[in-house]
Amino acid sequence: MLKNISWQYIMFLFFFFSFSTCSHTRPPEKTITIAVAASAYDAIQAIANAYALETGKKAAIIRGSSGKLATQITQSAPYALFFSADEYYPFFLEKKGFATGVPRIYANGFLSVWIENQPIEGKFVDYLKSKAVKKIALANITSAPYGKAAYKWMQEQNILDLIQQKLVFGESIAQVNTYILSNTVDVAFTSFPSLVMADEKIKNNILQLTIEESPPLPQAMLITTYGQEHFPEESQSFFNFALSKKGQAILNEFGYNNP
Amino acid sequence: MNSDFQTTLWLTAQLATITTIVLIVIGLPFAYGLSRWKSPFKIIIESLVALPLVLPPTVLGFYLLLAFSPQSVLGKWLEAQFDLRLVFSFTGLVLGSVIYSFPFMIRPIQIGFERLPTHLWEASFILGKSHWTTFWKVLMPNIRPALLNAIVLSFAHTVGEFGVILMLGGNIPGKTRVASIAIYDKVEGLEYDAAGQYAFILLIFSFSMLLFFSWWSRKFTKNGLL
Repeated sequence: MLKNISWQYIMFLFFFFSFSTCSHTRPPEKTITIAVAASAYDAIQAIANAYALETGKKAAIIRGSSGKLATQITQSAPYALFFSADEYYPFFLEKKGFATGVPRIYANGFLSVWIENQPIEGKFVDYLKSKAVKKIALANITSAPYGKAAYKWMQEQNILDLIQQKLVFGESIAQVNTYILSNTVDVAFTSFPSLVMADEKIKNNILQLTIEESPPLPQAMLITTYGQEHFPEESQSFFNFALSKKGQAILNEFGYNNP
Repeated sequence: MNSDFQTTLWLTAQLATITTIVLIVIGLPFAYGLSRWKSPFKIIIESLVALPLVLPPTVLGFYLLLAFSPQSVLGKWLEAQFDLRLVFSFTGLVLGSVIYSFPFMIRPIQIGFERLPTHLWEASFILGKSHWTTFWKVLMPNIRPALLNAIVLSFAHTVGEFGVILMLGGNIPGKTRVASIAIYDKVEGLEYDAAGQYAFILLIFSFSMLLFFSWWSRKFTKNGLL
């Protein structure tokens, strides 16, 4: 009997099923997508969870280096909000006309350093130059703000020439953290908030560079034109939540300082 | 920027060339052995060889990162014995590329050997020639198109490799920042002109190479060889 089923019938079935599912493939989107710098991912995810508890509305968070996300936004990526790890990219997007309103600073971050073999003798700067350190990880210096900050710090400490050979660049703080967690580097410049959920052992090996050595890194966020067009109320509501007492308290828990 | 550009392209060419040479050296005997091997376990080995074809490159890269980590058993041994660290090094990339492009070298050659009529090597043995002579003087010349195919595929595949290098390389200029990574890097940094330059050169080069080898392999078939 199977042999008698004609190919026309098969084709009909195929098209029938493919078209009948068409109407189900695009339900009205209810959840907003928020683009978050890799270094702030855990913190903003926590804010999103709290936001969901309070308002019942979910948000999908995606992460990447701030530069990459900003590029995607200029190419009409469907992100309603963007939480950067710096001020540069949000204001860059505002200038190019991809922002709604003015970007606001949501937190002050700070450069942290993870050192595998603690405690170290002597000054940190000397340790970096020593033979004990073979590989130093930092994030991409063109697209990740924490990478840029780390590189700048090295230049200001006048050790860049001496340690250039040891540098390894992660695509974003997320990849730098991968290097940390897989123990493939000796030192890594990362963001403490992104490792708050990691093992105690990892956390104990993180130093914060002092204010004199590395200034705070103001981090800004914005509502994109996409967000304004498609989810005006929700985007604004999430934006406000991040700046509210609750949102700021969550950021503090992760180690951020309030703006 | 120009010297960066040249360094990156030179690095890419080096990686692809060295990987291809390593693959020829280990691939030829391996493929030959596989083609002659008659066993029910052959399909297991063949499937393992073909694994990099279906495994996502980032998965392969990530597990190589863990395997070569200075804290792993293998990593510690390599560092103790040879002072060699494979993560974030050119050598590590070569090894990763060899694994990743392995099926592209093995499969065409294996099939090439398998397609040779058995009377070729049987005649050679009957005439008293050794395995070595048979292999180099009788079998090899007859699989030239397959060998060429394998070489071109492996080379091109390594030039285009991204996932493994992204995981294992560390994006170090002059050491592990090959063209595919550099393009991605430039795009992330909003430097579209520079990205376009790399892409264009790669495109021209790949196309010319494929064109040349298509022409060359056609020459062989015309001469009456397989």
